[in-house]
Amino acid sequence: MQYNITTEGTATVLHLSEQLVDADRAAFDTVLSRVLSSRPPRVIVDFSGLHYMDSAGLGLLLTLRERARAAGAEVVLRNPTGAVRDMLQLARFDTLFSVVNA
Amino acid sequence: MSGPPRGLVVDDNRISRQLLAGHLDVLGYETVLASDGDEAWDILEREGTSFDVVLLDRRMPRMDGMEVLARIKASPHLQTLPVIMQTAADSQQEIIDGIRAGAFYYLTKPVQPEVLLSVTAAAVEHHARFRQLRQGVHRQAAALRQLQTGLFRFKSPRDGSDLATALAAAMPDPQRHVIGLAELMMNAVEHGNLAITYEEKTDLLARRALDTELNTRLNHPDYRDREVTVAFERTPDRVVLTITDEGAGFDWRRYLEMDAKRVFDTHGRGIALAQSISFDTLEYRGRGNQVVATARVPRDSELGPNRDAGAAPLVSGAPASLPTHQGAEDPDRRRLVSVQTHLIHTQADLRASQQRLAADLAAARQMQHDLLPDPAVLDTLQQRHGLRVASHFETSSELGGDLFGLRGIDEHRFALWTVDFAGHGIAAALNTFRLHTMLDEFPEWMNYPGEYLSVLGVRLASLLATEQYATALYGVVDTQSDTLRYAAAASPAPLIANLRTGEVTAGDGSGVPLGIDSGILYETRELAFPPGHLVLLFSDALLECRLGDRTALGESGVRGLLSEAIARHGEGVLLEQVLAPFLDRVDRPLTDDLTALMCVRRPDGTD
Repeated sequence: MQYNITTEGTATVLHLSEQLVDADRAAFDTVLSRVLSSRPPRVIVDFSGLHYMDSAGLGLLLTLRERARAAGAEVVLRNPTGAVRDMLQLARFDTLFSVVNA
Repeated sequence: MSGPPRGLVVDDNRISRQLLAGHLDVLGYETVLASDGDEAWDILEREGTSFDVVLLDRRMPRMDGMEVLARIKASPHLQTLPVIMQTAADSQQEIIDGIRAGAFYYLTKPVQPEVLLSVTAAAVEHHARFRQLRQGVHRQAAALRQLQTGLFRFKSPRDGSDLATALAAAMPDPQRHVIGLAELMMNAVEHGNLAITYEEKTDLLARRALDTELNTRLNHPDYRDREVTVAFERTPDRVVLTITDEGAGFDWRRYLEMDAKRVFDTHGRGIALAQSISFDTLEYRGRGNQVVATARVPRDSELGPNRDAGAAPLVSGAPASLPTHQGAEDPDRRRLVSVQTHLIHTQADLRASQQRLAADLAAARQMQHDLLPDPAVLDTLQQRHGLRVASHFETSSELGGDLFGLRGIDEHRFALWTVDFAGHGIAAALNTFRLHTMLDEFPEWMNYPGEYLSVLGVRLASLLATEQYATALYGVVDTQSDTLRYAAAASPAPLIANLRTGEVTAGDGSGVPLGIDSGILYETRELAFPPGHLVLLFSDALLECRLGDRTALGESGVRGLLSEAIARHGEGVLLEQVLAPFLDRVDRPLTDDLTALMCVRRPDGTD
């Protein structure tokens, strides 16, 4: 997993690239702390650069959802493509998160 | 030093490197990354003294970790820089070599984040203390070199540390002795006079409350009058220090060398360190409240620059060396042999504990297999419904997170399911046991796949932690209406294949995984499943595990396996023939648990 964090208005944007898999667990956890530390009202996860995610990656997004909820932040998943979009679709994550394409 | 501690992370594997750096980030450290030994050494030569700790991978191309370690320990400026090495598990010889070469600690891969963090913090603290101690030695050196005998008393750790630097300066090799001396002084206060037990110290360190507790006890009526007495005596061939505290003593035998039980603790090395590095002999007396440390004065022929009274600056002297080629009588060599022997004992303990664990795991594994369908039940179903059922169940570690099953409902219907808990290993396996007891709780819903998964989802959501969830497919085969009605929770799509033409139809596996939220409703879907067809259910390992050429099959690949196997083997096709091209090429060990369940309806509808 590669990432960088930007802001858009009051929202914090987490741009993920390469892949999101089981091995990213610890790093993702750290990234989450960083993302939520400014207590943003909204967290946008941008998947434009992410080309692969496995079932463990889904688990990481669930952790994000739980921690964001605890911190009072709304989570938006943005621009999933290809295999990542298919994986989110398989798990019907559109019913758990807002998913947008911009 | 000001600013945050700096760590140098050296690993040729990009992912490991970033993972380690990520952990150090959590501690607020500044990290510098190097991808091999050459690069690491360039950085160390240029700015080595700016670092507080080095995380060093043992095996790397070009210059390997041992070479880097040897260069660090041979460099007067860097020799006290703590190096934490990482090595593959089970490479005992590498650990022995590393300890000989001066590694501060060994981590075995895969590295546990909590261990990494506590060891790194301990290393950085040690380094800061060494820096202080050595600067102290330098200041004290000139005055005390002529000391013959003396008696000293102190109460606080700070006074003990000051006295250690002062007395070390009066000893044959101050740089070598100061570390062990400081450890012994500290022990006399902490564990002797102030009666802090080993376990209490572990706990206090974990809570970062050690300093506070020390201060509290130093002022407590029970302890505040206690003193540590240090007697210093110089003879022509040795310096003898006798350190006595007023505590109750302790079982010092446990601490003279590294104890297998403590090998992964972040403290408790002081006495072993004093014994193996700083002194020639270390002897505890009585109930353990008195220790006698002896340092041999080198004969003239052995004199190094440090003995050169007053002339040579102590801090930039020759490296504190551990000569290894001076024959069997060499005390350094004896200490190394002793450390090595101890590590061999440690290895034996670890092996015994591994054997116990292996026996437990074998029992658990058997229990997990007992969760799978009973052959007698399968036989009845096969007879009654004109079926041929085959399965493949392979876990990626000792225990797995997959489960599958079949159950008869009535004369013309039976249910089948596959469940895959997130992750693998023991945590996932425990969830399969939980689920198995749950499957029978809703007999009234067995014939209704959507409802069945919905109620199962509610039960699991109340039990599972956030990152634990399950993907599942639950189906009911009706041999009268020739259908498979099913519901899915993020499962690979069920595949139905025509045994004559090889044509494969995929269902829809989408659905929210089980256990995330309660109140998710699953829909029932339907596929035609007449005689002369088979249904294949499988876990995502079949889609996702990498094959030798680094690609994974994906859904179209699995469909291809099925149609090719039917084309080659006809109506009698076996599950192992379907899976062979995958099983022959997949990288082992598997990265996830693999389950495949194939159920064939015989063409004539009977056996």
